Amino acid sequence: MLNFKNSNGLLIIVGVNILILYLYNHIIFTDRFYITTLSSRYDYNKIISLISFNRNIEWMTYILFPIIYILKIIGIASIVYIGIKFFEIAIRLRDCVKIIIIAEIIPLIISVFKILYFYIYPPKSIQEFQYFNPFGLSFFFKEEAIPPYLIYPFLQLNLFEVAYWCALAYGIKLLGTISFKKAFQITATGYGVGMTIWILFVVFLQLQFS
Amino acid sequence: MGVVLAFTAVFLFTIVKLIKAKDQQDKSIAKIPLFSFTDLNGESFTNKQINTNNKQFIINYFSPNCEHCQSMARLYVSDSHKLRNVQILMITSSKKQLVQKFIFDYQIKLLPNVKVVLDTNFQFQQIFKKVLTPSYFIYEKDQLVKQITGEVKIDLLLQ
Repeated sequence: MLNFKNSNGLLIIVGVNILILYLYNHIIFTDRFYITTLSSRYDYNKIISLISFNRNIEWMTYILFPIIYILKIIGIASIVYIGIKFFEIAIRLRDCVKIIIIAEIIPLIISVFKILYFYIYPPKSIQEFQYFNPFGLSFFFKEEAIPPYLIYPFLQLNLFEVAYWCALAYGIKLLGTISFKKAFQITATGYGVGMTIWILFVVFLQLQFS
Repeated sequence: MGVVLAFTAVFLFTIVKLIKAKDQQDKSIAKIPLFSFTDLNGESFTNKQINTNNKQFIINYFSPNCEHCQSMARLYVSDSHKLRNVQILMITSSKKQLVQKFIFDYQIKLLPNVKVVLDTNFQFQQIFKKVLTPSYFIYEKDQLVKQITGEVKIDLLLQ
């Protein structure tokens, strides 16, 4: 399962994500979507000029996205690697990258599910799309009931995140030939702490700049 | 690990402080706050001069160079019939000459219920903690009902 070159794995995972991004831009966030959702806020000419601007810079997202995504994978791999080193397990950083590449299949599943769902039930607003979290804690609360700075942490509390943790732990278990329980402890120490700090950072930024 | 825990604790402490400050800020502007700005004749304009008979009182923080503020000024004029029962206070920290040009270019003088004042002491940011332009604080019967940032249709301001 982990017997592949990192470069090939990265190429495939980045390629699929770019395809998903393209589908978001052309199936979900269509011109009709923007006209419908923004018509209460802006007049028609303004919306058309916003759409035109968006389409003109769309190519930049396909260039920037792979760079940011690869940096994200390396960042998460580094954090997991720190957790592994803390427990003195013999796993190399490049193998951590492999684990992350496999685990990133889970967010891909969410993205595909989102595309299918919003293709059948088009979103009425950008917030509806951003807030969509069917297997998460936020599903049980109305968006208005949650303070804006807590929305991001709420969105992270979902079953897919649990699956992501399990995927990371399973990868560490396979490569480190250790028990799943110990691998999960390592995941919690590395990725868990890193994720907590990241969420706190996002909340801090939202409070500071809202 | 100790360093990470200490870092996380500091972060959490800062976040709690920011949340408390935000709650206090929200309470302080829930009703029309005390303020004193200067109009273009050099006279002071305070919260006591607000006409409470109007349906709504809108505070609009703007900048003459801001493109979205310029669009909104055009909307004020084109949709002036919708603003008959609304008092708008346009506040800016920009220089008087720029503001005078803005008023002339966008015919703000045609709107009797729009007052433009200068925030020479940078009070606005201290009271409302907003720096983005245009920002709107909409009050009805002395209660803050909505805050909006950015260009919007007049109908959305008045909803």
